[in-house]
Amino acid sequence: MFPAAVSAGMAAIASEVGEEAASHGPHVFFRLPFLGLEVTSIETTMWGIMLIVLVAAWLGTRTLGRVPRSRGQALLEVAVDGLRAFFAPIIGEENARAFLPFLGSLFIFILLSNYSGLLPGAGHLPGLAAPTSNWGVTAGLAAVVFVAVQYVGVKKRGLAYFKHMVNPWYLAPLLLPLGVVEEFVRPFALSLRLVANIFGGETVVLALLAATPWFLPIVPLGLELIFGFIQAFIFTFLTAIYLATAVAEEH
Amino acid sequence: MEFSTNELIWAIINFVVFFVLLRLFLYRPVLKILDGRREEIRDNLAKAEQARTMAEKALAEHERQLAKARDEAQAVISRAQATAEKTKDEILSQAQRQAQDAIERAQRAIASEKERAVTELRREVADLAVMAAGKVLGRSLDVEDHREFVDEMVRKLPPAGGVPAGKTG
Repeated sequence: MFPAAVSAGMAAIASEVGEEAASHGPHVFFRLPFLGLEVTSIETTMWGIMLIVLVAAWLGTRTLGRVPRSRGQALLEVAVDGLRAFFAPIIGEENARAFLPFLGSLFIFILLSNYSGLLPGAGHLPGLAAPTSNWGVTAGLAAVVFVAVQYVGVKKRGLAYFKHMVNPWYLAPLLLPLGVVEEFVRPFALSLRLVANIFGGETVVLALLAATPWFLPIVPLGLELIFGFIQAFIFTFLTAIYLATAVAEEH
Repeated sequence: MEFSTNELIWAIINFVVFFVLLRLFLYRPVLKILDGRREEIRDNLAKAEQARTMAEKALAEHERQLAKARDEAQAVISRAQATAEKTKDEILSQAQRQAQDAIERAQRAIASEKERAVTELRREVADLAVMAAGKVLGRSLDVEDHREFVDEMVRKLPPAGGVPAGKTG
């Protein structure tokens, strides 16, 4: 399988540049009795991120009022309205309003996942591993995006959503396979772009850390802070555009 | 970098749960607040605009009435001025007429008075002449008898002078 081949290749590279990278593999805590699901460090990290964000959201929205009473509310409002204001000119006011919860959740989830890999001991400590440096996780997120895009497209426009694959009709035999492939290539590219960047960055940091534990890793660590943000941003941004395209009327 | 179906399934489950809960706890309430505030601001702005329009309308009405009142006042003033002018003219012409009348009456009175004076004077002159003639003749002429005669004489006299000369000569 292609992902397996890639991961094998990447693992080989990782073990060449540093011993630490080799220990990156998920630490299995326990196996669920159904579906054969395992709980690894990646799962615990995801749950930790979810817990932190949800608790913060719960605390922040407990005392919401029409007239802002707390700094927490001001911060949340700025964050939510800022996201809306950011997406509005790109995908339209209505879409920005409708897709904001999804896009915002996606962004914060990926951002914190990326940053979790920069914490000291990420990948070594049991229970802490950057979820987005595992292709399975990014593929899962991309799968959710894929389903969401198809869902909003069909929900908004019905069967007309699929028209772009057979329009004009005389080119349908050519366009249909292309269109279908495109729909699957998009999430594939999304997931691969994210995981390759995060995993690559992590590997560089680990390699430098192994070579010189002092000072030098600060540079790539700082860069990783920026890249982690950029990758979360790109993933969310492309998702926003896919969603907007799905609900847009044909020209 | 690894790919495992295990992580894929977990990622889907976790993210969907995360999304649903976050929407419930964060986006719904915050967006509700923001939309509510936006709505309120929009309403208030609309109300303010409405109030402004009404105020402008009231002001225009007010100014219109003020202008009307000013026009009416102006009309009253000019009417009064016209009336006053007319009255003045009337009074003046009446005064002139009365003055004219008074002058004419005075002139008439003067004329008749003069007439009367002349007549009186003539009679006095006649009497004096008779008396003087009597004194000259040494006897008194009977006044009544000779008045006719003296009147005749006086009437024949030239209008001015000559009487004493005629009498003495």
